[in-house]
Amino acid sequence: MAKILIVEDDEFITRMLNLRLSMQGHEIEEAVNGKEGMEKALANDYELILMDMHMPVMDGHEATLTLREKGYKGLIVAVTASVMSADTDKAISSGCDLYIPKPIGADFEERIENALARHAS
Amino acid sequence: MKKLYQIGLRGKTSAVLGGLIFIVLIITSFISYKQSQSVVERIAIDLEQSKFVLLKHEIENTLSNHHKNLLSLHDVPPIQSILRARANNNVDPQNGDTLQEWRRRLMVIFGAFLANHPEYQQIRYIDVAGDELVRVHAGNGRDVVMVAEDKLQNKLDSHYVTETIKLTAGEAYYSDVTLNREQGVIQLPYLPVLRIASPVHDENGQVAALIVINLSTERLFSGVLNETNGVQRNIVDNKGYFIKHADPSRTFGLERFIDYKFSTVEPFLAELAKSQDQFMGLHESKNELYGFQKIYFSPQDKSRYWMLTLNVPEKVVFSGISDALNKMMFVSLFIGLISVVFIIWFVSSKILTPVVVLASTAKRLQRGDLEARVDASSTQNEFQTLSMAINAFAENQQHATHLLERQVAEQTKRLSAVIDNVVDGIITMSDTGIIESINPAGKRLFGYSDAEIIDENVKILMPEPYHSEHDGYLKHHRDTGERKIIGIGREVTGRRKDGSTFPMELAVGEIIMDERRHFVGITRDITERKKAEDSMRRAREVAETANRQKTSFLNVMSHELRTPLTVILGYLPILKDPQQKLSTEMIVRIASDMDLSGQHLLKMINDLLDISKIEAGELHLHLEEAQSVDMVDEILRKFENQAKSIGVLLVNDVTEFSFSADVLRLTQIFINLIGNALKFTNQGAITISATQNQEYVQFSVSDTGIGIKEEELPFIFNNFHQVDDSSTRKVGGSGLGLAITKRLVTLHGGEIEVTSDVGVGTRFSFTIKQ
Repeated sequence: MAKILIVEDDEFITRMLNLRLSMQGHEIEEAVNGKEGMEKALANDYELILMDMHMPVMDGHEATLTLREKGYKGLIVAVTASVMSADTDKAISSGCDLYIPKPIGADFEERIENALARHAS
Repeated sequence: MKKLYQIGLRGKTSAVLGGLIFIVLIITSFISYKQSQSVVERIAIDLEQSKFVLLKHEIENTLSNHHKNLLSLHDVPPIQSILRARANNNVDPQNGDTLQEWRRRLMVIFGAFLANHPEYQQIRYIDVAGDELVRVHAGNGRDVVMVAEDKLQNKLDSHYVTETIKLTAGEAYYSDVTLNREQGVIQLPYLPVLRIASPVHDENGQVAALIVINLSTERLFSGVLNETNGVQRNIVDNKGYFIKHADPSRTFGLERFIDYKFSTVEPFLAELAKSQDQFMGLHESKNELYGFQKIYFSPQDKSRYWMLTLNVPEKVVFSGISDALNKMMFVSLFIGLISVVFIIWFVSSKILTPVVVLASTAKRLQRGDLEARVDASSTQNEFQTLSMAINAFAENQQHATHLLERQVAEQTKRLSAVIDNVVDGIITMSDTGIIESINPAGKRLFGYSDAEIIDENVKILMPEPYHSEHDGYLKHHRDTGERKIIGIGREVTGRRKDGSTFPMELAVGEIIMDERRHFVGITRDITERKKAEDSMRRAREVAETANRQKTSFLNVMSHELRTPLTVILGYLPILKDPQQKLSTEMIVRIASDMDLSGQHLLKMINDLLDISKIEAGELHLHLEEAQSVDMVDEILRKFENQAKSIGVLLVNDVTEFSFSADVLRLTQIFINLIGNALKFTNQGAITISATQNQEYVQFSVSDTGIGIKEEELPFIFNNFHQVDDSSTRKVGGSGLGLAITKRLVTLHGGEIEVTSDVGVGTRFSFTIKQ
């Protein structure tokens, strides 16, 4: 099972994501903004980071960009409620490997598993 | 004056034309004379050379014949018989005849031979030791002298003997041409002799004797003639002495001890002869044709030759030919002169006179005397046609000029009317920028009168920095042709007399008038247009800003609506799963989160509905009486817990009064303002106060929060505006709270305003009309 970091400013969403992924047996850690998420990512060894894009202090784009600039190679999945194509493109160009829109569906766990499997190979 | 002019033209033309033709004639004649002369020279040289070659061949042929004659003597029987007899005690062993008999027979043969060949002087048979065996020579007339045995001599010391015995059978030795000598003394009269000798071989093939023929060269060289007209043809031997000369006393200098050699007479030719076999050329200073041709007479020895020499006086060479040439030249000059006279007469009378007449008429026309006409009777043929054409042209010109003058006058009147009445300012100036004219519109535009502006530099119509730069620009244009504004319309700033400036459109054109360059500037005041453009631009900017805000709002609303939905929809798959084994506690927590998210969603949807209702004018107030203190107390109670949790004091500082308002909407206004205040305040207090007068009730909500930046203040009541697009749910809301608030205040006939100090606090106050 994978070690996953959830970077999300909305505590309700964080709790929901944490519950769903924990029930799959993943080990979950949390960060409330991009800055904290980035620090945790560099200090730990996560197999996957779920990154919200709209956050105070440091948003997901900046956090992802900085991580990639520092050579972070781990899997980063953007999870955001924005439906503007410019925002989704921006997430990928910032360095995210995958984009999952909010609200998340019943297939969320499956998509996470697939991303993990692809990244492992 | 006119008369002199006419004569002058004719005289000059005749002189120049005649002179030119005459010069051309002279030059042509001279050139053709020179060319003919060189052709003649070449022909003369070729001719003399041919003669030389013929002479050479003749001499060579003659020598060859002598050689054959000599060889024919070898085959006569006595030749071998004498040798046999001498070797056999003077008796021929073949037939027993004595040497004496054979010698007599040979003498008879030699004598007959001499009689048939008068050019031969002597024939001898000489043995290899030099002893003459037989000797026969020509006597006077047709006589032949056979020399007696006791008179025979030994000739071993003679060059022809020693040289001949070295030869093989069939070859011949040719001696130098020398004067004949008898017993060592030169015979008189001089007899130039050539000796031809050939060896005789005995039966064993050994050289045993030789036959020698003495040949008088008189006949051999008889073709080499001198002529009375000074043509000299001589022969020189290879030692340089003449062996044949026009003056016989000059010959055989070597033998006669006279120093007369070819090299002294013709040093140039003598030098040339060292390196070449023939030469023919003209001697410039001696005016003669001279040359030489070598004849190699000895086949065995190439160093031995005779040289034919030639001297021909030039007058002889060109005689006859020169006469013909001179005659030809005189005839052509004569014909040329006649032609000159005729041409001058023709040009003068048939061309010049009519031209002078035409010219004087044309000159009068040129001076503007359009009445001038050509007197056609003074001219003829083509000139009559030309005269009539000129007259017709003059009439046409006169007519056209009248017409043109009228048209120009009309056009000018029309054009100046146009220029005076156009709305655009039209200014003409010199290429140095000095104003030459300005139309009324231009004067109105810039506020100058004619007197004030004519002859001024156009730069007085320009504000700085163009005013100072203009001279440099014009100079640059004059020097390089580069253009910044000429021919290109553009918007610039103009300067009026009073110093004020205005935007204007300027087009500058270049015109060439009287061979000088001028500029025409056309200007138009575009102040009004600029104003219209500016207001249009501002309107467009406002519209674009609104559009951007709306897009931004939709994006934010979409995001904000999805966030609570994400929570609700995110939990559902877990709850729906029949296999789930969630604890009761967990289910309660999930339900609570879903509830709160649902509430938040509902709040946003209500805000949206409110705003769209207000925008559509469908929100109606339900006014009722209210008590100020009670109402505020009730509202503050709603925030009691929230304020307590963050440690902020809520203060009700309103005085008691009753007033009229839609309490529900008024409460909504307070909830928005107090809610906002709580979001941005971490410590201190939120104070509600109120005052009233006849017309208005005024409420204010003050906090001790972070404050709002001054640049944000103008926008905070706008629809769809959020202080920070990425604010969290804790701080942010729908972005419609203040917009709704302002609309609700407006609905109450009041106004809302805000003051704020960053880091100190914010104060909202609003009025409600009574």
